[in-house]
Amino acid sequence: MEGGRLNVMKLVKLVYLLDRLSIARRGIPVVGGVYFSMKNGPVTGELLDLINAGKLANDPDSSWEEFISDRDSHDVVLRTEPPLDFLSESEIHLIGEVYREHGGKDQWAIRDWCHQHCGEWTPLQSGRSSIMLEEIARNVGKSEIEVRRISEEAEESNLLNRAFSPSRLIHG
Amino acid sequence: MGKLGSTYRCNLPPRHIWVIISNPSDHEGRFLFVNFTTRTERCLDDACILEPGDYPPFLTQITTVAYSRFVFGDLAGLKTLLETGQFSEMPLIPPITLQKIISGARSTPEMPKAAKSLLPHA
Repeated sequence: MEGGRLNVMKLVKLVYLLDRLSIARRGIPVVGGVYFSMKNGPVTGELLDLINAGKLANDPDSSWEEFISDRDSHDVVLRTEPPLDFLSESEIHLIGEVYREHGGKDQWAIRDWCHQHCGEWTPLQSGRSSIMLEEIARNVGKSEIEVRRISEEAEESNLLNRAFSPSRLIHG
Repeated sequence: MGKLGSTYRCNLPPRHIWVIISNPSDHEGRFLFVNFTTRTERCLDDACILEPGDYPPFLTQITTVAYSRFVFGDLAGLKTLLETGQFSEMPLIPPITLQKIISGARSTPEMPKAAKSLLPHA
């Protein structure tokens, strides 16, 4: 994070763009979750919940709060450096790539970039509407065969995540 | 049920084959689970390429191990997947193929340290 402090909107946009780039390159997101169009661009629902509530509903894991402060006006602050053991080399490279491309912009410039380049985003004045994974995949140039594969693999991942969720919590 | 090398098929499309590549008894029932997938032109997950002879007669074309999609599994979850028919047991993967997959897991940039730490010692 930028000196340990980061604007919430900028963080949310950078994480969305990270998942978008990862879908383009690897067919899977790094963070994942449910994506939405909102007035200021695309977002990941779970990340917003973490920022606003410190953890996900019905999830006892509170490791977010261990590393990230409560929301302070429009910013969050890094409490301590999180370990990188749960990120692959490939994911760390993608994070670097997204930050090199967008990290120098403020939240408004990234929002404008998303509005211009993320064809899966629907302009809204208020509220939110879902962005399907398949729409992201199409908009990053995947063929219909690839989109179908990404969609099927996402369903399979959801099945496994549900089956193995207790161990994921222990491990996380 | 559920040991190093145990092999399963997921009954959801595209019906991937999944293999346990760490020893559940060394980690309180937890294990690393990876799947095979058809190798595509733009595939970055190429640390372990398998041929039909690596798991006959179940592999019919050049296949890659999708380390980027690895899962931390556990025996209780696996039991549920089998009992509900969402996964089916398959014959064990040949030991030489298992070693090839584990070796790929050690070198791939697609798996984090936390996952690699569960792999059996060389």
